[in-house]
Parts: sequence; C-alpha cells; structure tokens
Amino acid sequence: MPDERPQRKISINGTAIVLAVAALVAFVSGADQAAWALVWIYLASVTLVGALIAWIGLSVGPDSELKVALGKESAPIEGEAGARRGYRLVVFTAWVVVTATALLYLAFNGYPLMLVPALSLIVFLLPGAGERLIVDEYIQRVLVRASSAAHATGLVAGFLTLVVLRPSALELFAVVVAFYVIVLEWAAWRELR
Amino acid sequence: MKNRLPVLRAERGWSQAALAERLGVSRQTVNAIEKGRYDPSLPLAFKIAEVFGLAIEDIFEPEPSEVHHAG
Repeated sequence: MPDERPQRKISINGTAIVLAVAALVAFVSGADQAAWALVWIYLASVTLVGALIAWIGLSVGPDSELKVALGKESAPIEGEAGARRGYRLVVFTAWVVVTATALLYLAFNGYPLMLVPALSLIVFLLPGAGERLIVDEYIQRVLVRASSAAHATGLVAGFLTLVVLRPSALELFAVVVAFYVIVLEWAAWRELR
Repeated sequence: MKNRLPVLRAERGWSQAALAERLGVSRQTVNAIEKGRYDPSLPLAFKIAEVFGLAIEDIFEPEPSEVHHAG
C-alpha cells in the first residue's frame, strides 16, 4: 500500500556531530568555559533526544510523517536503501560510543552524576532498539502512559538529587533528563518488545 | 477481546509485519491486538475486517464478562 503522506526527516546525528565538533574546536583553541558549556548541552540534550527518538524511530501521523534518520528498519531492505540504512547505523553507533565515552569520562573525573545519563544509553542494548515504529493509536497510548511515569520519576529524582547532592544546574538538568529517558525507554520497551 | 487474527493471518501466509503494513499500523499494534492487550478502535476494526474480507463479528468476539445481557 503506497504511503502518500508528506515526509520530513530530522538528522539527530547531524546535530550531535556539530555540537561535538564545536566543543572540540573550542577546547583546542583554549576557550575552556565555552567548550564545557557545549559539552553539557551536547550530553544533556542529545542524550534525551537521540536516545528516545532514535529508539522509537519516531513517525507521527496521520496527516504528516516525520521520520528520524537513525536506527534500523523493522523489515530487511536491500540495495541502495539497505546501504543507506547501514550508513545510518554506523553513524548512530559512533554517536552512542562517543556519548557513552564522554559521559563515563566525566563521571570518573569529578562529575559522578554523569553516570546517570550514561545509564540512559542502555536502551541501545535492549532487544528491538532502533526499530522504527509508526506512532499509531496503540503506540500513542503506550507512550502517553510511559511519559506520565517518566515525568513523575524525573521530577522526584531531580528533587532528591537537589536536596541530597547539591549539584550544579546543568548536572541537575542532566539527571532529570536521564531519569526521564530511562523510565520512558524501559516502560515503552516493556510494552513494545 | 478474543480475536481470530492469528488464524486468519496464518491462512493467508501473512506475518504480523505484513498485516501491519496493510492496516497502516505498527507491528506492535497487531501483536497487542492478537494477544488481547489492546482492543482496536472502531475505524481500525473496520479496516481489519475489510482487509480480511469478513464482518467484524467474524473476527472479534467479546469476552463473556464484556457481554451484558438485558432482562
């Protein structure tokens, strides 16, 4: 059945790569503060967007279709499309490795809270990770339920972190985002595996 | 709600993914309907019936507790 809905693509990989490269350039040129600011933005924001959207391969309907150029198709694709998917997987994997490495480095060098967003990358080890989904009526219901639990968990985790650990603003943001992502991914994976 | 989707699918040699593509939904949705974890909306139920060329009541059967008898 041909799909006639208009489609758009957003490259999460592209955004992540630009931020990472910008941070690297800033470090090399000695602008440490700017570089670390970019690193925090990269880690906190892209961890959420990339891990969540990449996992569900988000497509929204019914009148428009938004596809994220990440992840793998649920059905095998041959030829040119298969090569493009292989390329996306390579870039995607590289992004995961870079992000995980950066998070772990920070975690063991004075920022232990960065272990929490590092855990959000566990999603890529789960079966079905990266499978594209059509966000239909059932998937919407699953995501809404998972999102409610994730919001509550993120807020509670943020509050406890703030009270107990006295983090910086960006560390707190990274922790809240990470808990949101972890719970959302786990809850959705339970339903959709 | 009970349904005959797995049987009807097998008769036609369709995978869950193939049926999902015909219905314009995700494979997970087809799986959830077959396992009784999710009852489809009315439009989706009509689409399912159309795809199989059957009436809705030939595919879906309410659980006994869902049927309320008058009188």
